[in-house]
Amino acid sequence: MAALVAVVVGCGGSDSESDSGSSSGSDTAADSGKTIKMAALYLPNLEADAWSRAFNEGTKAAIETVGSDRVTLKDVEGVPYSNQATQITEQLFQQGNDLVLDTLAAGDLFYAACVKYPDKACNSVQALGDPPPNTTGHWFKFWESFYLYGVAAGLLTESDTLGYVASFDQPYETAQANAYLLGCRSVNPQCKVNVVFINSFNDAPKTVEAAQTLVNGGADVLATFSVTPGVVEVAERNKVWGFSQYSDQAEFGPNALVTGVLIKGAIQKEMELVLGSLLEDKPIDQGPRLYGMADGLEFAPWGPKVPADVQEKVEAAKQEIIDGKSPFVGPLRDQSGKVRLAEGEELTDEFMYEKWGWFVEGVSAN
Amino acid sequence: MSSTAARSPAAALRIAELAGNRQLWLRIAAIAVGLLLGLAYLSTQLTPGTDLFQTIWVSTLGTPLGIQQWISLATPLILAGCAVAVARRAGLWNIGVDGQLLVGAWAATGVAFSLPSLPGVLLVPLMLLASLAGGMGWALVPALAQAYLRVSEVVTTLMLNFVAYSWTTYWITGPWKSTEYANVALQTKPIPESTFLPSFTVGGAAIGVSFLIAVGVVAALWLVFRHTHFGFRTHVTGASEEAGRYAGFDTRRARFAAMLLSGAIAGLAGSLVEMSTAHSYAPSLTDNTGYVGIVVAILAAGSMGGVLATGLLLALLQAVGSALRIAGVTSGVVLLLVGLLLICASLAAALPRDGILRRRRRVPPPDAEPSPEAPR
Amino acid sequence: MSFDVFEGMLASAMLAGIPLAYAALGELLSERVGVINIGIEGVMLVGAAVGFVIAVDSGSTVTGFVASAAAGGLFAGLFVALPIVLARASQIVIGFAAWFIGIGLSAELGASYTSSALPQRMAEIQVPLLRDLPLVGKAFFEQPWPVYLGVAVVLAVAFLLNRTRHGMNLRAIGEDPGSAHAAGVPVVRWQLLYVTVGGALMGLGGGMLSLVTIRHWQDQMVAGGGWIALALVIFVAWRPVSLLWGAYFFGILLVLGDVGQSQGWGIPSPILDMAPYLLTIAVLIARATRTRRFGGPPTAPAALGSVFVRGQR
Repeated sequence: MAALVAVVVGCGGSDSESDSGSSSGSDTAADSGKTIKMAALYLPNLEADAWSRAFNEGTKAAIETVGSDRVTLKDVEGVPYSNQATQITEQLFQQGNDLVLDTLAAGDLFYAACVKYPDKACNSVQALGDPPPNTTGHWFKFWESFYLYGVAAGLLTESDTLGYVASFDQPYETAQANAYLLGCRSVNPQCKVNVVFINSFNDAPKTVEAAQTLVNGGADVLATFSVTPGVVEVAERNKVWGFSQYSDQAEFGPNALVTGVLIKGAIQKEMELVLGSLLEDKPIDQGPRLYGMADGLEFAPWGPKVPADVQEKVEAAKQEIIDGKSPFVGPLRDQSGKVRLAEGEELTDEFMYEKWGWFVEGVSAN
Repeated sequence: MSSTAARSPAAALRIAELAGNRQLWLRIAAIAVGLLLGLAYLSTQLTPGTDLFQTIWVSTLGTPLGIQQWISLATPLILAGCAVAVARRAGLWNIGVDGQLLVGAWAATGVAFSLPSLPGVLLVPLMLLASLAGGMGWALVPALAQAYLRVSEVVTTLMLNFVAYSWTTYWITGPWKSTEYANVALQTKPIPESTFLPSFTVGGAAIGVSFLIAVGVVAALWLVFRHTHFGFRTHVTGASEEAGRYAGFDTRRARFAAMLLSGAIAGLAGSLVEMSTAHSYAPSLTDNTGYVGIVVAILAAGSMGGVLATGLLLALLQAVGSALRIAGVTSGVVLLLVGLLLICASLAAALPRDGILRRRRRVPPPDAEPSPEAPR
Repeated sequence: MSFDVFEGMLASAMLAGIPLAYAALGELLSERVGVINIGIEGVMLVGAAVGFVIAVDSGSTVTGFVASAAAGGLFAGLFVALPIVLARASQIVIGFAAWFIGIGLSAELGASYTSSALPQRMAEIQVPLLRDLPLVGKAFFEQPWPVYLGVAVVLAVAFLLNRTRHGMNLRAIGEDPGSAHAAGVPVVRWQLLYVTVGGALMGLGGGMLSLVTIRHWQDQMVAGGGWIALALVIFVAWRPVSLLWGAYFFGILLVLGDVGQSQGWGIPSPILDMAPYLLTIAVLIARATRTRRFGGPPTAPAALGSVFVRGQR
């Protein structure tokens, strides 16, 4: 369905820092007067997408911290997943930018440009695959936020059935669906999770149809990895509960909204680190750094209809995670009932970041 | 002029060609007008202080990097334009280039993944062949349905694009799933390094071998349509079905064959993009090449040499689009510009038919066949 | 499949299908006067975006719905009807241009409205007693009013085309504009009019998507629906009444994949996603085969896509 995206380009624009192609080269002076020209790539228009907005706001906040006179930010919107992403990145380096931030999770399309400019710096979200040495990366421990969604959902559900509108059948979604179930099971052992993949991150009709189908199948708490507010809207329409993702969607579901994860704080931390290392010439670990509830992931304000005791219990579970107690411990069985994680063993963040290839018993997905 | 109308298909064709030449300048003028209108509008959209022409110059023709990127964008567009133009020669619209391109790349990837240890000299030709076959295979059903059942190829080829996107997703999240590369931008693991197509450097710009292949395809098609019976049959069929039938051609077969050839070229574009720039199988290989390819073919008015020129032009537009994004132009503007260009070009093509130039070319049907069959 | 899921699917299919019926009806009218408008997707997007923006700004969803019709009509009139009918430009090329422009324009218009919610919902019409019927009650007797308006408009157009003299003349344009002109039908004016009216209906289809089915704005939110509407016209063989069940059938197809996933059919989701498109192709081929083998009444307007130039026939 993503077929019909902007045919040549969907360009973008804003009143961001203006700076045409003057090529000054990177500033190699390591003294405290060093400044950085930074550019950020976004898939859609900034204002049109909560994910991109979060990156923009987080980066701007980080620039405030490290010194707004020392870093300039150029926003490049409407960058497609294609050869053009590589080309735009190269152009940005050619025009004298020192750091390019990829918020698309463009993978090899981004690395292909970074590898040609070893003196410049790249930062990429997700950063799977084989990034070149000048490319640092970060990702979010969404498994933690989904676990907490599960805790809240387990307390709110009456049908013991949760719905999850997932994007693609990829390891990050497996981890998120599993975490959703495990959170729910922690307070409600009968819980099960139905997953529908829409094979998109922003297909509005499919998000709505999938959410409605899940409700028809008995789900009374919905979560999603789609940036659109469709899931909260459907929840409101059907008088069930719904979680937002990346933004506070209270406007779409005044009765239905439970809460939703916000990523701005985590992005701010990452960008402070990256900008700081460039300004001070102190190398940092290539990463990817994984940001969880303890390091910047936050929840949007609770929906007004969420009972106080539910809020308290979830806040308590959140505090436990922040304090370092992992809820992802054995025994865990997969869908066939086979024990995949023995009693007492614990899943690592690295595993959940890129390797979780099986659904936990109780998750229905195919 | 209509009274001198040709009694034979060959003469009918010549008349059509002449009329085409007269239109050439009008077309070029129309494209220029469209571009100027667009530039005028763009200049109102820039962040203040940006020099529009400096911005465009630096990121396109003014630097080796710009030229390199331009050529790299042009390669798939030229091939997609060829694919659409071949179908147009037979009077058909191949809207399915995007899908055929993906399936072509899929077939090439399948070969690469199943025979990774084969040396590049063997693997590369095999992959190219596989992509030709893959693209052709994806065009098979629309081609059969159009030629023998008159099912509208506009609808079937387009529907198969949607199917191809899902097909790609299926392989990347299914049989070819690789957790190591499972990022949000879908992709498989890389294809073997031995299959990466080389490039050569001209004045600092790295020009891919794939570009030469694309130019080769243009040249080959030009020869085919100028000098072979196949090309002639296709052309006559497209110009006038009745004329083709009158001349004793199997026009259905001609349309069928043209559609298959079109699909094969689209498939080749897929493997070339994968082997020259992307190096892995991904939905982003298309980059809407199929749709832009339609514009390329329309602006070229079905001329194979013209496809080379308009492919380069549209690639330049894409490069300008990238540059403008960096300069802060608002969204959708370049898309509007392309739409305007198309309207200008089609008006230029339509006006001479009557009105301003008072010229009409109309080949009376040789036999009293009723109006052409409508799509069913 | 559980009963609730099946019942829910029948209801969702209505919300997914009726926008297609609006759009396909617009295309059908357009094609009946001989003009193929393949830019449906673009017209729908413009209707969807304008409808949503106006609804949010005016505080009235109904006003937005009306605006989506106006926007669709204006857009199709300017970018499709004028170049095709007056300048006789290539219908396919102009359709593409309208598609591109529609994508770009709607993205521009809607960009700052992605996080806006609609002021209010469209009222539901609830048919007493009937809505309590098992299985079909919710699907057919308890839906927002634009659903029933869609049905009414389809029936009205069917009446116009098949039962009135005006409709007969209108169809004559698509069959043989020369003869229609000779018989005194103002061919050019009616072509302009009905391509524009068709655009308004496509706009309503888009408006129904953004205001009733999806209820928020997202770039490219029509997501291929316009192309399905184009296929739908062929699928129902240019008969407006058949659009009702045709659109509903497509609505079911669009929802079916999700049902398959939630019911654990064990088919990978991308394969299920292909179903509507593959089935469309299969049905078109089956129909053509049958017509070829057994004959049948002529279906497509005979002069569809051809250029009418006064005095040239």
